[in-house]
Amino acid sequence: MNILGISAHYHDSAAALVVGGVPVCAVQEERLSRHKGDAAFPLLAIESCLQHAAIEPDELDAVVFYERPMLKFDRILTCALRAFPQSWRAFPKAMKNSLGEKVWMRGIISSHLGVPGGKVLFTEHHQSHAAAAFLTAPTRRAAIMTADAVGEWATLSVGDGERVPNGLTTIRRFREIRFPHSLGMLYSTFTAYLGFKVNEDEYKVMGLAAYGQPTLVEQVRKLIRRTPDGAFALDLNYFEFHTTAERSYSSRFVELLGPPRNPYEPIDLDTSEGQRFADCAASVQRVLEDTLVELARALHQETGLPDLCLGGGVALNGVANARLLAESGFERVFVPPAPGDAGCAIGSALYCDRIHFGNPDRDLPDHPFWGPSADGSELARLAREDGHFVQECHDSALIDQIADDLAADRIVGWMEGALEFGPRALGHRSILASPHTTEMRDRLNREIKYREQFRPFAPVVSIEAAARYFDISLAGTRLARFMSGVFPVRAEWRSRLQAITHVDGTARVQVLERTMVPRLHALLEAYGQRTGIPVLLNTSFNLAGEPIVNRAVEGYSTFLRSKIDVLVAGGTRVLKRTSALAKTQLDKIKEEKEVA
Amino acid sequence: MIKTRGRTRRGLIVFGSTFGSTAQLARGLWHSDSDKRWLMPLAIFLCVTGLLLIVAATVEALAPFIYSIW
Repeated sequence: MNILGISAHYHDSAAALVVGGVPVCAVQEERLSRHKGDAAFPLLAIESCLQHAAIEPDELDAVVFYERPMLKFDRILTCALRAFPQSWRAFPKAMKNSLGEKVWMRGIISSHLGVPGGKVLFTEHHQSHAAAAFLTAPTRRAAIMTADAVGEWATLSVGDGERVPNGLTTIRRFREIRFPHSLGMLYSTFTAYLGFKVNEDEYKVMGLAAYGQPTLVEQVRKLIRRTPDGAFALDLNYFEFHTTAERSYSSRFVELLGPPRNPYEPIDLDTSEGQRFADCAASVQRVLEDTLVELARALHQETGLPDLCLGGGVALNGVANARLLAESGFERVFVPPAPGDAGCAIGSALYCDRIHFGNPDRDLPDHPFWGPSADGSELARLAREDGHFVQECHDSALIDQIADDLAADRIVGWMEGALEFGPRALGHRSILASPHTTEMRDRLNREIKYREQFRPFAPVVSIEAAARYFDISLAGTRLARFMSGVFPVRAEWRSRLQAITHVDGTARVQVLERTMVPRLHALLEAYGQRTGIPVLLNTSFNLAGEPIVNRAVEGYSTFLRSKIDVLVAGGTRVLKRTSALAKTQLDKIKEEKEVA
Repeated sequence: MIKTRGRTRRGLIVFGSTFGSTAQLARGLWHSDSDKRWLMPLAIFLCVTGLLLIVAATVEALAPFIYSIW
């Protein structure tokens, strides 16, 4: 069966195509439209998926939307009426927003793709999250927990799943917590309070938390109380997200925690005000972690299962994930590479295949590389046209050359194969650099990424060497496969891994298996032979405010607009014609020709 | 390849689907656990308003007349 999954209209829209029970392509719209966090109907992503599989829209057996728009409309309407009269300003806007387009998804999908309305199906938002987390994980039975800001009504759900080899799949939901009581909204409210963009910059709050102390935990606990049934409830007197679109927090929230941060003023951690913001971040992070651990512990006791699959935007919080692994009682924790809404495109398609149509279970490839491929020859053509230094060589020579570049503190833009699906660069669209000094971190921040000083960079290490440099268990290496956990850097190596060690001595490490990205694994080994430490700094290949690059031409454009020293796509290595290194290498080639 | 359809044609397809979607919402409210039947008239009124918005977006010549309602 050919099933297309779509997520759209909230943030980060995406499409995924499942053929014969196995995903063949999945891509986020932003990577093709080049608008970060593009929430539009993902026509480009759908076209890319169909082209990849050489399928026409009329060959699709079903098109699945990742949530039920009418149920969501029911929630928006009910909440607006409950909050009346405070909601009277937001009400017309919310209605126009929903009724102008969002609720008519069946018609919109039919009108764009030309498929009959009967082929358009819907899953619930948290069912999509659960399916994305469970059906892509290498486990047969697992507890499932999903948490995000809000889907239709649910904000958090717990349940379990079972896959019988070549048999039927079941995903059960035991309970759910409903809007407006939401861990995601609690965290997003602090994101707004701390002057960051809601639904986008939550990871900055996590990064900032490491600079603070959880001194305001008692105040944060006033915002969220545990209920006797083991769930939680927000004290809505402190929030406004359920009544207005203008502001997430109320005046009482400000009375409790002090004035919010002006988004246009940088955070100066040397001032008491800057430290207060860091303490706020640390406190909400602690409360989030504590709540998740307690919920997961109860789920573990209830199911008795060793594995937990985590989905939803909250599963992007690597610090919380690592605590869940350490303290919840589960032996293994699986987080998919795209646990957020984009991942629901895959989740809804798989849910439809396994549960709606009852197709037999299939083992799925355990990697995040479902997007379009980068073409090295395209890069070579573009760079030659502009007169840059281009070198095309076979794998081993190229890897030796790049390892030399990295050992010489050059910054490398690295593209190979299919694009990652999800927010992390996991070795196919990465900027790589040496991880040893703070100078390198500052250079990357200053010259390429243009981002806040307090945000850390992530490392990538081979699975064979991971435990030497990081305090990480075997189960932790699984969590770190898609950069989903934060683990301590071993104290004895911190001075030699300064660029990737966060202020609290941790790192959001990617642990790489050879089979997942063989060339990057080989590069790590070659780099290790030169420097003694097979660890590299790995950050996403994009500039501030732009999505991760997709095709070679976008990597090339980013290379030209930044101070990346070397660009690699497939077997092609490019240096800027103005760089001293390019001149040296050209001279060397001339000399070799003359000798020959 | 996805065939590109004109705005009017797409609008008509969306318009045609709205009756089914509205009925689905009404059914959902009628059968909801928390007894939201009283919401049905308002929900249907809003859905009809949505239909007008679709017509306004599809047939641009009518848009000024429809928006003047508000």
